[in-house]
Amino acid sequence: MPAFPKIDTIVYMITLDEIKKTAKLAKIEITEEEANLYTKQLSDVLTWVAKLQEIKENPITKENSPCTYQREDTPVSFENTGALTAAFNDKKDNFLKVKKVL
Amino acid sequence: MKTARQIAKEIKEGKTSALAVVQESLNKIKELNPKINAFLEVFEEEALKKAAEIDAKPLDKRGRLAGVPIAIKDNILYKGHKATCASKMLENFVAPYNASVVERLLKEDAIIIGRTNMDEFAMGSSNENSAFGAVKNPHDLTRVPGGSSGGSAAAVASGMVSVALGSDTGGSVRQPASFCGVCGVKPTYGSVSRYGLIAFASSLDQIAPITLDSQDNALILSIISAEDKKDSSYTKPFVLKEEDIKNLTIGMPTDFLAGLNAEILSALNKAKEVLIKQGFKVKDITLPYAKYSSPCYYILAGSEASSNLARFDGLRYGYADKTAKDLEETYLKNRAAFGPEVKRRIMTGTYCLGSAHAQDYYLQAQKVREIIKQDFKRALKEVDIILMPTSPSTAFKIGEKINNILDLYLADLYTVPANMAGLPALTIPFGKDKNNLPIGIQFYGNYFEENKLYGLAKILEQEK
Repeated sequence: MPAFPKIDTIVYMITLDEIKKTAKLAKIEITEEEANLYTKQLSDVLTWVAKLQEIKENPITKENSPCTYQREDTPVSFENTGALTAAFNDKKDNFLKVKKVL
Repeated sequence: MKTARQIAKEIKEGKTSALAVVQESLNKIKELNPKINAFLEVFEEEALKKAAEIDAKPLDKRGRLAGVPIAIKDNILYKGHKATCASKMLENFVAPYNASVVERLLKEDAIIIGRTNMDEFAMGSSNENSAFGAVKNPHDLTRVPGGSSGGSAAAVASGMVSVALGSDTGGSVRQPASFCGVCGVKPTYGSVSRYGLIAFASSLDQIAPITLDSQDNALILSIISAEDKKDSSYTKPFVLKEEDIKNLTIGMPTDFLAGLNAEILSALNKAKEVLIKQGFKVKDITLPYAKYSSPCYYILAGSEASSNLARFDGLRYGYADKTAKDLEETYLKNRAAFGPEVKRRIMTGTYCLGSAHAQDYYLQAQKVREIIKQDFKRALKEVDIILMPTSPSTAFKIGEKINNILDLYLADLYTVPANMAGLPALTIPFGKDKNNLPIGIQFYGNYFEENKLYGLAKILEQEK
């Protein structure tokens, strides 16, 4: 394999509980089996990407920090609204219908 | 297989009809697609109708891509047609409008012939993550075509079409182009409108063509790169022109190439020799931070994906679970329709953006991204072009890496830096390995200097 920072020791481990919490925050239902699998897989990924922490320089300056371009906020009508409402999974009249919020 | 230039020329001169060209492409798809699985849907009837319309036009009114069948990756919107991102989540989603790139192609009388398979939501480098079955590499059906635009690359490589559009977030056009032995580009960030591209990681995504050769690639890019106010990240168009490239200096990043597979290194050295013979200066350079691109990418792309894909809740469109009791459960159950890799990436991003970890992961990755960018800017002051491989390996076997995620993630090693830095990069096939599989080599250039990349590619293509 090409040159790459070697993963020598496991420096980070995500727990099963953290995986379940993360899935909940991401609003994805996962099974117990998936939770176990992702605990192992995300640990591998997070251990690998943690290699970035070797770099101590901070190159961000006022000049190169992402700037915000602002444009005029003008409303534009979308002509094909029928196609949008037709895609609704549940609707009443022309309104999107969802399950009870609370 | 004829290039898009040849097809359009013959149709514009009346030497052949668009109908005949489209029929030939449809026949090829019918013959090969059951084996390769490159197309998810073929717009047969409509393509034939459009071809007849083009044939009815006077010769001098026919567009620059008259009658050229073009396939589009399944994350690009074509009004009235499905766009599923190869996901169960969007299995029945119908595009309510055209992507700007599709408008440009139609304006030049191209024929959108179908939508191509991909890794779900463009996440993957083997095309094994499609909800609708893996794509096979036309050079060896037991191997992957690369990803995520694997369907597009396989469709071109097998001669079903001469042009297909893909999208490149970390190498998703160039890596499959390399595995399939065709030409693919990642244009300068901001030079192609993403209006109508289903977003994955917006600071990285670019739509780009996969073609049989570099000249076709340049032509298609010049057409789809037209100005568009509908994408706020759009900067300026790519204007195709012959540039004087004879004084270019080409750099090879020796540190980044350390440990490279011997056959790929040998192809790279052969390309170097050809360029030296043609009078170019080639020198060794270093890119000490390029190796951090892949881990940096997986944090940033995951983080952006967790935000971009939050819109898929199955309420306004997409997969709907009918058993949920309340709104919260509706979200949880609907979003369970994502495939495993998409779930992994969203969760990685959610974790890296969480208040407890953002400093160590997301913000640190932003700093490293800037360092990588500066690394390339420095190198591109020393040389005009950087030569490197497209992928650390040639096409691997289907299933070979499916259980080793990090190995799969490293397939992007040489392509990701271009997305990190926003630079243009072009891959062309150059030689084959001992299994007769194509090897891809890649040129990186400075911002908006795609013409130089195409110029060099043309020289190497003539040498083959």
